[in-house]
Amino acid sequence: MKSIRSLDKVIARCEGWLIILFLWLMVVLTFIQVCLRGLYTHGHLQWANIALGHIDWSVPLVRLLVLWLTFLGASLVTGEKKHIKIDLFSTIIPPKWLPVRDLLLSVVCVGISAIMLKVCVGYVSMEKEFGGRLFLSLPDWIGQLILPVGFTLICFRFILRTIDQGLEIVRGIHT
Amino acid sequence: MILAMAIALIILIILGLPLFIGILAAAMLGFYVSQVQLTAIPIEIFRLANAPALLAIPLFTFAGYLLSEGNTSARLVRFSRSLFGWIPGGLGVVALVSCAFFTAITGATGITIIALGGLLFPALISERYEENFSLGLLTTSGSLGLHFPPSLPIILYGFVSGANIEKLFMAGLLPGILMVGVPCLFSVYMGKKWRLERPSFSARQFLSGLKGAAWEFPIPLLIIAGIYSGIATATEAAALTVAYILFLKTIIFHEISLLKDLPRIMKESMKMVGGIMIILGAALGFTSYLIDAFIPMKILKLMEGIIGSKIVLLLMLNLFLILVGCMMDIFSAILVVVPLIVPLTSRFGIDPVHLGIIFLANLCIGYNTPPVGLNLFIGSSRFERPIVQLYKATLPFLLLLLLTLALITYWPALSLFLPALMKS
Repeated sequence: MKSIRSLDKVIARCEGWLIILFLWLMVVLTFIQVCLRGLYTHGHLQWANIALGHIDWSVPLVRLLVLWLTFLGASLVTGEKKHIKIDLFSTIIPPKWLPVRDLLLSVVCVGISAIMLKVCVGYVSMEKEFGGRLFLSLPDWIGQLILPVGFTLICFRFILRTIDQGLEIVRGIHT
Repeated sequence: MILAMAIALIILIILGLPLFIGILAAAMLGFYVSQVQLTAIPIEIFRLANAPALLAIPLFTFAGYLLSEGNTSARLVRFSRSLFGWIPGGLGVVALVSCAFFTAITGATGITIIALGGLLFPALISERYEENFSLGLLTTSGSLGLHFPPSLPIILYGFVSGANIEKLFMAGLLPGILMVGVPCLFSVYMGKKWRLERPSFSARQFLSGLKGAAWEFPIPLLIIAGIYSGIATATEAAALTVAYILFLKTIIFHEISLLKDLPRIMKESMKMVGGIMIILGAALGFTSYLIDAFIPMKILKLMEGIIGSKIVLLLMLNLFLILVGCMMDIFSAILVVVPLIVPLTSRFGIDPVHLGIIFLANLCIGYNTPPVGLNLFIGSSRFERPIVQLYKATLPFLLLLLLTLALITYWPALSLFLPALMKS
């Protein structure tokens, strides 16, 4: 269990670094695009248009980063148990039953994210065979890789949580 | 069997299943029933990577998190105090205006009450505002300001409904001012009634307050001007805003260190984005099932028989949305409900831009509606008061907001006047 938990920490740190890298990329690239576009449309500078042509790959790249950041962020949120939810009964359910409810919910989360993982793997391998090109002649499926990777991370986090909650209930019964 | 699973799923969702898992499960169930391959879901999620408008969401969220770091809130309160402090009930006005500003830039995520409540609540009490009045005012103000750019719920609504985001921003201005203005008038009225002491206007304090806030106060105005004049799209405005705030916070104010603070702020803001956008992805999958199965059309058929006129539809819509608003957070509500009601409302001739403004006003009220409005819980824990006291404290404000809601709903020109003036 200990080694799994340290693996979780290492993954979270990597996700953090990737988020920082991707967000910087997004901020810098969009800023450059806006400036060049402004210079061309309002200042009628030809070189700005030529420069825009040279970085035309950055437009789809930045859009792709939105998706990658979404999954990295969502995976971190899963680790911290802070996903958005409707919670009408926390104050009504007797505290004794709360761990059981939490375990039930976590098991469902593991199931659904595992199905999503399987479906996404199928999707990417299909795209790998028939898909088109992304930008800079990269194949499409590279960009889509975040879907199975993201659901792997999310599923992993939910499994960890399920184990924790199961242990907690077992401990509760014994004491 | 299928029905039992659907009911079980709904029970799990209100028990507290993470919403994106719940929506994904609903989409799976739906596609399974209509025998469509589940690959349809990742295809829809991948659409997140092909939508230029969505780029504004991470950028504006990041900008909001940057701005809520450091002393922006204190500078803001000081400036608006020097500006409005001298009118009767002035501190109440200060609270409402600063909170609306803060809600707009941080994207209405409940952060306002937490960030500003601690500053404003003691100030109101020490100036002898009644406790319940102060509680009610601060709690409701946590969701006012949703209509002002760069509000994230507006961007999301635009994406989901297909309405033009720049137009939505313009349409929100007057209704937004109304929703902040009416409680302001109430505060002035109470201030007069209680004969509160008030400082006289001091030009020196105003100037020093202005000097402190001059860098940050104009940000929403600049965004509005940029979008209104057609110089920038919402996404371009977002990129410029981030660059400007980064420059302010690191170079002008030295409040954020590039190496020490920035990585943490980036991570925190992207967690927020991840939490919302993963629901968006799931909702895209679910919506594509709904459309495959003609569900919105079926709802339309069903409701057409019941609803005779536009007025009745709007009334039912208001009631329904307030109910939704007190159970769901604003982002999920938009993602789940908008695709269902847009065909219905457009059939009755309601402009999608106007619908968006009604939608946000409703949800903003739902946030404060007992028993489960989110603001009430945040306020209760922030101000350490029992939730029942907050029900009572927010009631007068709730009634006032319902009044403005009626105006916003039944007077479309209020929303549609400004966007009509925009350059296309």
